Amino acid sequence: MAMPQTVYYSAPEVKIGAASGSAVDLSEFCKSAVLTRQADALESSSMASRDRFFQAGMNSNQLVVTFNQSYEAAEVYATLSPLIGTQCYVECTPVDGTAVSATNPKFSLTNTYLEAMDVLAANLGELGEVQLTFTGGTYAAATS
Amino acid sequence: MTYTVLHAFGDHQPGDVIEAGDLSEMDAAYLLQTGAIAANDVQKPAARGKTKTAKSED
Repeated sequence: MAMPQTVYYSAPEVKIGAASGSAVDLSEFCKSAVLTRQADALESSSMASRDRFFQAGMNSNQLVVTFNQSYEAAEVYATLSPLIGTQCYVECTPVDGTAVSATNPKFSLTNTYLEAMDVLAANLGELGEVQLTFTGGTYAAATS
Repeated sequence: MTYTVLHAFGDHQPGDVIEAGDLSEMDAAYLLQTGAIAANDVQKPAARGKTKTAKSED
């Protein structure tokens, strides 16, 4: 008999700020969020084997996030525009409004870099959106 | 010096009043810029004393 499966309905909490203490909850504007933890692959193959082998190098973490744009105080533009060209803080939990736990871990990047932001992206008949990429930073996954 | 929270951030909700010492300078500058907080206790310039005018004696 097959075990019942638990699937994930995308409803994450996304907070961004200059530091953890000033992170603003932008979940209500968020359309997509992809946080990637990556360890660069350094090839350690040798002629002793016909297989390629790799080992971990530097960590290259990244958050790519898309928001519906808003220019109101403390919303998308106001929160993000001061962070362009700085190291900042981002955190995401899988389920918004639910306590952090082993089944709802809080993923964060500290001192992650925001290189660029489209301050205006307008298309006829469409809602404005902004996509951002936060690069690097120290990754953590908290369960409490 | 205190700040009033206008928009939620961190563990703070709108209407909270927080001491300046509870925020780092960097966080305070950032949150003021975003509009998430507003400064209270803004120092007003010292009140000027009344200027006395001499009565004419004619």
